[in-house]
Order: sequence, then structure tokens, then C-alpha cells
Amino acid sequence: MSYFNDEQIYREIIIDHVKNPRNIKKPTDNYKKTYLKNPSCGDELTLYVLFDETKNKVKDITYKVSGCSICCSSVSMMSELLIGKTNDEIDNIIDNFNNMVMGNEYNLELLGDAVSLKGIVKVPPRIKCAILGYKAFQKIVGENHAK
Amino acid sequence: MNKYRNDFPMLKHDYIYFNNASTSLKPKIVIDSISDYYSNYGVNTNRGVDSLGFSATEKYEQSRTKVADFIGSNKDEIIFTRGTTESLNLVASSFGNIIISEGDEIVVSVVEHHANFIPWQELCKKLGAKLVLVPISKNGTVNPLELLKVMTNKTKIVALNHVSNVMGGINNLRELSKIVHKFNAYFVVDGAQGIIHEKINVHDLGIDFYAFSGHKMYGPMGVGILYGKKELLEKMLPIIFGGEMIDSVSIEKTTYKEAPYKFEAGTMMVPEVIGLGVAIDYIESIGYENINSYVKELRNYLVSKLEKEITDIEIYNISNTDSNLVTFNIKNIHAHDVASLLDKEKIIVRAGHHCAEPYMNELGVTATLRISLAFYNTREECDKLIEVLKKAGDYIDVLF
Repeated sequence: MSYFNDEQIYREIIIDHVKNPRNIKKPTDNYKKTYLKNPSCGDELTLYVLFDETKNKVKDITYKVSGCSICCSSVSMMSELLIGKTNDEIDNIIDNFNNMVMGNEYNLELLGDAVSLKGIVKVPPRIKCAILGYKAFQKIVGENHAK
Repeated sequence: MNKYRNDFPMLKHDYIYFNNASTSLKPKIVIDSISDYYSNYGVNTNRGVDSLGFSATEKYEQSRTKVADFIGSNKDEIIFTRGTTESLNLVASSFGNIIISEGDEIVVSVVEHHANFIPWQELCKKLGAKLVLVPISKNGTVNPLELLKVMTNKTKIVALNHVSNVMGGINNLRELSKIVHKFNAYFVVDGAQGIIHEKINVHDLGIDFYAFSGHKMYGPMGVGILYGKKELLEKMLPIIFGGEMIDSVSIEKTTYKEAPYKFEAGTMMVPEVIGLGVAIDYIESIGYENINSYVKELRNYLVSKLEKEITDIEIYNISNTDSNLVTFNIKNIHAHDVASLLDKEKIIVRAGHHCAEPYMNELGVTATLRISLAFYNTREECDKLIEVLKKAGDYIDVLF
């Protein structure tokens, strides 16, 4: 596939996630919840994760987000990417996503639609927007472990 | 005004700088004055009897005189701080602490910068006082009649901005000051934006405290000013203790120098203070009125073009024609998406909540864009901005 086509597709994927965010629903009480904000710009996210404790898996993710296109699309992509994955798989995905946005080597196969955000490496001030969802997810995992 | 562009090394780069309300650019003479200090007399002030130290002290104190003259006060009423934020915190922590008791009221407005909001919020929490919000007009200013309505005999401090960093509306300090003093309260003014916008005379206006920063008036980062009425500064206790602010120290007891020196503990930001004095000279060499009439004219040019050529724009402070700010959003596009696109075209603006979250909530937005003009900005730069804003819908371009 040519670069031009990649670019067209990536644009469409991002816009699609902005306009049609995935996995929006009303969470039930058994979802773990956390709130995270980028204090410098005001992006706000409440993330809800339903864990399947017996299988060490993420059963479901939903969220409330307000922010820029990068923040909102990234959370939507993340929800699609992590649902149904085991904890180990998710660690690997998050490592790869972080590597992608930081300009390090990463495995494109693991990242699904989130690959469309790879250009963020050219816009360092916006990296914090792209990783907000993943940071929130890790925060939930941390809080869950602490209990 | 174009001839002054050469004075600013930053303008030699290929950027359009529209974030002057955050910090202004610095002219070469200010930058050079700092280098001159470090190269030729870069030693500490107020210590010992050596001639180098004497030169440094002399220059440092000359800046204090320049600042005092600039705002119509006396030299011993000028305290150097790290910035407006520290100046306001000093008033709250020191003066607030002696003047506020449980049940007293402190009045602020919802459009205050966090630096003129949180110190009072915290002080109220600590001392059991009440934070009272005075309503603001649509243009972001406080109507004196509205202030009158919230004043009570429990009001001890009124803390308001001179000019709002979000809306650019200019508060009528004279009228507000009269009302505050009618209730025997004290008037604290956040002048961070106002100082560069309206020439003031603090004595004439009867303001009790006026806080501002050097870096928004073409001076260096890291130096701020607190003006306080002499009799009030005399009553206040220092909040930072250490070298150079003492009169005498013994094991039993310490006494402090007179104001302002008791508030300047330790080694101060000497070259920045000296640079601030140079910045004041620079402003006065161009002329306050010249600067402001040019900026006002440029703002009007920009606003009329924005209204005419950008269809999906929402301008929040359109009526503040004396302001150097234009605060706006492009409908259905987040401010950060637009700001990134502008950044890609090397146009620097502010996007965000402008450290005024309470007011953003009132506006019903999480973020806005803000253009803040200075006298070195040009019509051509405004035209370039308009061209990029026309393509705001292409905000995803920043990733490709």
C-alpha cells in the first residue's frame, strides 16, 4: 500500500472515531472507574473497566471523555483494542503504543486502529492527549491491585 | 511600529507570536542587560563593602525607583518577588493572615486567574472566612454597582483583576476602589495583564496592593512586583526568612529590616530586576499611548476580519475593543486541534482554560483559543492567521 493511501485511511479512521466513538454505554456498578485530566489543557476522561478476574482479562471498557480530537479518538481506539485481551497482552499493547508515540520501534500488528495516530510523534506537545486513555487504564489497574 | 521589530531577536525566527498575554517577547537591550550584569558586575547585592557589590546594589535599587515611578508610588512600597503569583500569595499569606478573622468575607470574581483565586480560597479555608463571588458583566468586568451589592460590613478584602486574561475587559479601578474603601475593606489588584494595558497611578487610585510581572512587559522572566501601601507593608510580617532581610539576630530574638527589604530574603534575582528597569525605559522610549493605540487599532482590524471571513467563529469578548485579546472558538472543533494546526504553520496562540477554570465553566466551554497582540505584531500576521483559520477543518493534518 502506498504512503498516500495509508495517510488517507488513517485520516478516515481518526475522523470516524471522533464522530462515532466506540463502546459508549452506561456502565453498571461492577465496573472499576477512574478519572484523569490533563491539567495543562483540560482534557477530561472518566474510564470504566470491567475485569474478568478469574481469567485475568478485560471484559469491557466504556468512558466519558471531553477533549480534542486526538484525545477522544485515542480513547475510543483503545477501548476497541483492549476489550477481550488478557492482562499480559494489554501490557504488551500499551508498551507498543507508548513506543509508537515516542518514536521508538513498535509492532504495528498489535495496535489496530491506534496505528493511525502514529503521526503524533511529529507533534510532541500533543503526546499527552494521545496517551491519556492508556494512563487512565494503568491507573485503574494500579488501584485495583492495591485493594 | 514595524521599525521596533528589529529590537526583538525572537522575531527573527520564522514565527508569528500571538501569545503576548502569556509572556511578551524581550527586546535585545533587556537581554543584553542581563549579560552585562553577569559579565561585568555579576555579584550579590547588599552585602559587604566592595565596589562591585555596590554597583550591583545600585542598579538593583535603580530598578525599584523606576518601577515606583512607573506606577505612581514610592520606592519603599515596591517589593520584588518571583512574579504576580508570588506577589498575590504574599498579600494573602501575610496581610490576609493579620486582617482576616473567622466569619469575615473576601470578595473575588469568577473571571480571576487562578493566582488571584486560589490564595483567597485557601485563606478562607484556613481561617474560617467566606469567599464571596461578585457577578461579572458579559464583557468580563465587574460593574461597580454589582460590587456594591455584595459588600457587607464583614468584607475585609476585595481582590480583582485590572484586566482579565480571558476577556480583556478593563475594570474601573477608581470606582471599585471607592466602594471597597467605603466599607473599610482593602483593595488588592492583580495587574498582570493591566500593567501593559492602562497606565496607572496606584496612589491616585487608592489601591492598597497591586501585583504584576516583569515578563509580560518585555522584561525578564522570574521577577514580579508587589506594590503595597507603606502603612500596610509596615504591619505585615515576612513569610520567607533568612539572610539580608534581618535587622539583628540573636539566640532569643530576631528583628527585621523595614519594608520592602524584610520581604526580600536571600539572594534575589538581581539581573532580572535590572533587566526589568531596562524594559520600563524601553516602554517609555516608545510611549505607552503609542503602544496601546497601535494595538487597539490592530485588534479592531483582526476582529473585523475574523467576523467577516471565518464563518464558524464564536468570539467571546467582541465588545472589548480596548483590549489586546481576542478569545474565541471555531464551532465544533476543539481549541487544541485548531492551535496545533496553527502551530504547524508557525503561528503561536494560547489554547486552553487560561488558568481560569471557574470562568470557563461559566462560559460553558472547556477550552478557548486566545490571540493576544503586542505592538510588534502586524496586519500581515493577522492576515496569515485568517488564512490558516479558514482551513481549521483540516486539523487532522498535523499528524501527516
